[in-house]
Amino acid sequence: MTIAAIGASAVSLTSLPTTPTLPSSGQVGWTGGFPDLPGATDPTAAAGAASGNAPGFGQVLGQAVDGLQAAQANADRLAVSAATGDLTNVHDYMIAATEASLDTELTVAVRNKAVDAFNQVMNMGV
Amino acid sequence: MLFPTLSTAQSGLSVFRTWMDAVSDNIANIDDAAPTSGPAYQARFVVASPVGNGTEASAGNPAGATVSGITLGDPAGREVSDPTNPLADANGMVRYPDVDLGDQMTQMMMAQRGYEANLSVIDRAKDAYQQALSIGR
Repeated sequence: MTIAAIGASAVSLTSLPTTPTLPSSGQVGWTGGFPDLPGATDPTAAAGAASGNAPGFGQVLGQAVDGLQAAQANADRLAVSAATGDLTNVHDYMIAATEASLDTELTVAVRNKAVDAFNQVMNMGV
Repeated sequence: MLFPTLSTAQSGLSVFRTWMDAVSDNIANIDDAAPTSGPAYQARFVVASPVGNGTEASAGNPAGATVSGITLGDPAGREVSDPTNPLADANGMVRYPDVDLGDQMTQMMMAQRGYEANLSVIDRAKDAYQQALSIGR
């Protein structure tokens, strides 16, 4: 499975899931420190937590794909019941389809970001 | 649930659709005559209540509304003098359901507006999620 391959190659990029450190770069000019922002206060602590007990990026992506698969299976099931006349609530199908579509967009966005990061690392001149 | 707003609004849609079902049932049966020896058609009232104790939304779990039951109106209805009706008793009375068409139409409009409001929530939530996904694109 290609997802596993991406995950395996991205596992070494343990800094990837620690995006909570991003806000600190956006708070230019604020000299008061970050005492009230859990997750953004200490990047090293966040990275430690990520590498300590959090699952690897491949695992996270695998779970996301599982969720996406469940959402799409749900939408498919409701589409079949719509075609066979068993659908009691029209909005049930529309919402399931919307959720599946949003889920797909999210998974694709995460995957694209990961591949981008991987490529940037690979293109680094050593 | 990855998109909690959608499932919450979905539960609201189901409640308002059930309400519309009840209203259409009431309107469909508004002229049902019954003998005075038996009960008249009983109007359907939808009882909606929040899922759980209402703290679910802040905890990030699916929240929303649910139809907790259907209560029925007065089986006595209203007795109407209609001697030509084959169901009429010795005094020429029959029983009609105690359903007011104006009231039912108002309820239908409320149910429809509530349904529309939940649809708007879904629309806005979808837009918001999509805009969030376009961050950094």
